[in-house]
Amino acid sequence: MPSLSLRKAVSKLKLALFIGVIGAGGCLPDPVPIEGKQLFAGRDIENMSFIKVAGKTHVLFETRLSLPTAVASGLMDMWTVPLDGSAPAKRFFAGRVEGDWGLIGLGGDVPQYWVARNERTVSVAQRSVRVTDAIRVDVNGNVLEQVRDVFQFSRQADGLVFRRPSANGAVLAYHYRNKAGLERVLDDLTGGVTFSGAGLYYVGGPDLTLYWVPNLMAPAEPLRAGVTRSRFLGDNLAIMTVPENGKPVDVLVDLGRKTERKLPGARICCWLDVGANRDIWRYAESRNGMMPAVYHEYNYRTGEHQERPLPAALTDLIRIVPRPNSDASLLFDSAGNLAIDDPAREPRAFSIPLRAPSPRFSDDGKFLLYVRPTSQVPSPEGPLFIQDSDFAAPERQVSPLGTTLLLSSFFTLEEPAPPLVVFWARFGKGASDLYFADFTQPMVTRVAESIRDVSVTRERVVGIVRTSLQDLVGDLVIKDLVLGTETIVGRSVDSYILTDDSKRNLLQMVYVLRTRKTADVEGLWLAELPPP
Amino acid sequence: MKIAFAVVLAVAFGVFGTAGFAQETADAGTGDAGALDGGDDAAVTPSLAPPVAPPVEEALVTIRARILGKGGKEPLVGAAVAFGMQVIAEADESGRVELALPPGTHRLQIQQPGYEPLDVIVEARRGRSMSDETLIRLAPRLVGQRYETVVVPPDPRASRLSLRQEELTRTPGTLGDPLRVIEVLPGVSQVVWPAAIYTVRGANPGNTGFFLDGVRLPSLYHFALGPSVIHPFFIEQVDFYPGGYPARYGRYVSGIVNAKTTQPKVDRAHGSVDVRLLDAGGIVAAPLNGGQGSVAIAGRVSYTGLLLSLLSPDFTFNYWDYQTRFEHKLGPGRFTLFVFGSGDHLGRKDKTKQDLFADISTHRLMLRWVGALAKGRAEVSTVVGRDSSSTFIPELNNLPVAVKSLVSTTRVGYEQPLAATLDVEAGGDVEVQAFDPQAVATPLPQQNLLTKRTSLLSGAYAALIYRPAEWLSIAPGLRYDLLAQEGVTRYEPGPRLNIRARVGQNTWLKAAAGRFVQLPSLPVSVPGFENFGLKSIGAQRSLQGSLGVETTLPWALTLDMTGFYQRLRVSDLASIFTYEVQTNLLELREGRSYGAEFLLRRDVSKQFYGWVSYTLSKSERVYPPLNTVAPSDWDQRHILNLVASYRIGRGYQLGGRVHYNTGRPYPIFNESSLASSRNAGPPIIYGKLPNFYQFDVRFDRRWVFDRYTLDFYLEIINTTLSEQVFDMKRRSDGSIDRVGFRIALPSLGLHAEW
Repeated sequence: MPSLSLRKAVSKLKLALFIGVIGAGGCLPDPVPIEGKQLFAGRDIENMSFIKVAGKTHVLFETRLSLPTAVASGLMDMWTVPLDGSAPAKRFFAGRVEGDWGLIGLGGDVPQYWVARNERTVSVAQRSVRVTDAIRVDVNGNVLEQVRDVFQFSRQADGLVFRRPSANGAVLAYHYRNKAGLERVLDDLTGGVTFSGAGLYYVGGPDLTLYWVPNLMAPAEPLRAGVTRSRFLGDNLAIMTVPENGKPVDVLVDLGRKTERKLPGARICCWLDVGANRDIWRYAESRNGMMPAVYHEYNYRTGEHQERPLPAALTDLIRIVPRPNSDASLLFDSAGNLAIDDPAREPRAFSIPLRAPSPRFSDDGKFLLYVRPTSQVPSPEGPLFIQDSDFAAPERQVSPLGTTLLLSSFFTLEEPAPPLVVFWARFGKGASDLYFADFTQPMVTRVAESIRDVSVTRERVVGIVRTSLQDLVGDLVIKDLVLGTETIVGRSVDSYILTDDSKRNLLQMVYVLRTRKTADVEGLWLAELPPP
Repeated sequence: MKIAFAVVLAVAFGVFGTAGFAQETADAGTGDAGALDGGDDAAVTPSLAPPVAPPVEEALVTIRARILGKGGKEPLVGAAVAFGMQVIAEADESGRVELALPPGTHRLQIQQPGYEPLDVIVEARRGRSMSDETLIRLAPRLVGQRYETVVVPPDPRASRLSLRQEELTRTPGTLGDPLRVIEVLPGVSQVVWPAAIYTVRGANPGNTGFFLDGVRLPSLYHFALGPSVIHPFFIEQVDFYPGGYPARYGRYVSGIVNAKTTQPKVDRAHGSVDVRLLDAGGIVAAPLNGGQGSVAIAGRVSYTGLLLSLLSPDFTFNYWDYQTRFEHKLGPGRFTLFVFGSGDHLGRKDKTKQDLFADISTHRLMLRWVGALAKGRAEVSTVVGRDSSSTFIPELNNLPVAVKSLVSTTRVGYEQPLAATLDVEAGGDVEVQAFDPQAVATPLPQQNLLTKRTSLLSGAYAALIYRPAEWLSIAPGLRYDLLAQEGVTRYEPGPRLNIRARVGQNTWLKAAAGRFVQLPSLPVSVPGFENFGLKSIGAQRSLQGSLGVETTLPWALTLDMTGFYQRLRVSDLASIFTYEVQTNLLELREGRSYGAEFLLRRDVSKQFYGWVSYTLSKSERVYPPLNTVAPSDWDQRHILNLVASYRIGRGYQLGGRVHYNTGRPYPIFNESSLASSRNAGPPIIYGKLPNFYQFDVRFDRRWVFDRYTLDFYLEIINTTLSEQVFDMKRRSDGSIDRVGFRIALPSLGLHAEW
């Protein structure tokens, strides 16, 4: 056992420290400097957009104060900052209640918004209900109007429709408040409120009466009882489902003349909206058992009516997609079955061997593109196929083997020739890559990797690429597909908006830079580039 | 002369519970309670009476006995026969002892470390037959100093934690698995309890290497609950190097876990059977060639599939493993043939549904010779093996992939003392592994793991242990690794330095530093999905430094405190949310980790033993593209484990573990954000998984019969039903949804050994 002198102990300690320092060798890389102008430093930035304030471009954005919980909505602060960075960012409203409360822009030289503030819980019919104060505020922070105890609100015409606990706390009554601040209660509203040039319509009361309010101060005029659904067609015409001998029937109602006509069909299931001919109301009738659904066309001006049975494969009819440059249409039923309705063929309507919710015709109508889902979680996804619209040749898979895409993750660029299929597909749960594919040849080109929020033309891709699937940030780039060049506008970008300054011939991109850890570089950045 | 022994075991003074075992022993061992018939003319009678002085007789009577341990047939070599304070004989290699006593009644005591002393009254009469032999069985100590204290000497080449004996198989919270004990040691964090996925000192889970007798294995654990793939019977000691491991190991940038196998007992045939709630297994071992060798065969099958069926009507899950070990003296050393393998299966019961499955199997054949050579010790081993993985787990990979690999590893090592103050060690290893990935459904993209490839990994090392003074040892080492794959060759030096200096009576200062290298690795080691990416990703590296102190304290306590710093370049998952093997799922990132480890431990030989371990650490990575320094995905700031076991007596033992760890960083967003190419859903926020704590209890009961022992244990892990949250998402309304489970894992087992 050695004698432990202080000097010896110190020398041993030095030696050990020396070893430790050797192990600790090497420094971490320096941070990468960022080019551009920082408009705002901070994190949790959301809902960014451009607005004009007194003719000058600003960026409107929000920062998160708190997350929503089971008992309270999240809160946001609202900010603006001049795009040219001539003034620091200004918070014009603090503690906006998000979630169901929305944010209603009212425009104006100094833009105004309806926002919610001061969320609290009240008791209505012995149930807890969260209400707020609806505030009309401008971007200078001036509170212009305040409506207390509001349970949800929406903008209708120039006013607000909202619910408020009644004085006795028994019900949440519907209110309409016009721009002048005048309010009226809409009795026992059961559905939406429709505004038309002739006033305001709503369905209310236990007998589902359709009311008409010609102006705010006038009494509500009952038009028709038993209305379970309605659609306004203009010119004071509406389609409604009403009871007749205990069974629902569809009627065409002239609200001005207060007349109505019953539409042909016994079990009308599906309203398909008007067709290319705006006077034709299209709908479908489902039948019992194995009977095919029936398609109807009704000219509500002339009363002319046509009907024809659909292929047996269709249980009903929920959507019609016309084939360009053809009289044919693609018919969808609610179970995902498809059929072609082609007047030039016999039989006119026939089912096709597809069961996909996403088919889309090419602009020239020659091809049908669709995603055939192979997985449903979290959303339907599958490979992309192309099929000639006459079904003369077998289908061909367009997306690379092993990749899948969401149902709507493709479109076409067909002018000028040659036409291209643009789609974004991914392996497994990875990020999507952007591809261009040929319509007729099995040629697929990967144009950008791990994209997020990109805009695509034949010549260029602008947006976020090389996205990290953990941080959901990537490089904001402008890719020139003709020259094969790429300009990196920003890195670690969460979201962006772009505009152009035509006077200065500049493309201006404002983006949110976000990092994994709170840092000074986080915030809003402006990049100005010559337009591509 | 006829000698008769009548033995009833005495209650050892101050030792609880011996009487019970003694009674059972007598019942089970002889079928004749209170008497062991050893001959006609001598009788041994148990007594608590004071010793009787041996009468002086003119002629002595020879008495022969064989002394064995209870619970088996183990001869107690060296067992002492004491007369008063004096040892008058010791048992030979077969446990036999011969006494020459004067006629009359004598009180003797049989003593053996680790066993209860046994008092016997011997009545020596003339005329006893020379062939008569009396069997005496000593009961193992079940409390207190049950075991002799095994001193595992500190390794001057590296700081390590060694675990033996009951610490390996009876640590609460580990399901009795020797290789899961590391999860309660300092420096170790468990990614998601109860999966056997560990990170060490802030590196990544795949950065810690698992070795068996110095040979790397792709994985030491089965799926899910993760029992180790080697029968606990084979494992004698587990050495855990949390960092700065010796030069003989290589190609991992964090820690090393080395399980040392043991030679089965060679005195006679032994066996054991385990029946547990989740699986059943057994082992038989027998001596060969007069004790010069041995053979042992073990196997285990799980029936978790049956249990899972009760919980899930769709899925089936099973695992199995086997081991066969042959060992024999060969020249100046011992030769070992060890064949082992394991398999895991996860799938749907409906065989026609192939939308999720995983079939993984590993087989290894190891030849090893260890022995004296010249003036040193040499070791040569060769391992050949075959791995096969066939997986399709849509959450992990969107493509059914099967990978087969063949591996061959050869190691040589030699160590020799050159002088009284200097030891030298040198050696090397070569590992060749060929991978053949196959796509089940479609052509494979040639991407890292899916590339058909052969990797050649080789290393040579030399190390010294220099002891210039009794209080100081300096152990420099140098390892040089060759990594070759897909036309890329790298030479990576790995210098090491370990220093130990005694600065007090029982206090040592220890310091370590080194450079380490590794091929890219996945967080979870799956056979077949390894040794990839040298070309496309590059090699992982670490520079490690540590400084610590260890000391002994009163009450048989030892205290070990270590500070560490690691500079890392490691292959992180690009995103912890996607494991799609068809993409570049790994990213080489710079990083560092630093912290302090604390271990207060009471010796396992004590009636009350256990430890407190605490780790304070920070693990950071440099994230592209701005080189942002932020906590790594595996960063757990505080980890605390309290492990305690108490031998109550009468074969009872009770233990418990309290575990606490803080949550690791976790990005929280809506799942639709991943699927969509737009900014769908509420934005991402950076949060942390909730802290986690658990309380485990374990109860053991051992019965020792004459020829076998029976152990029963009941273990309940997470008795508090704490929720293990492993995922957090933002709902579409922006609020946070926690995804986790609350389960308690009961484990019930019977172990019979003879």
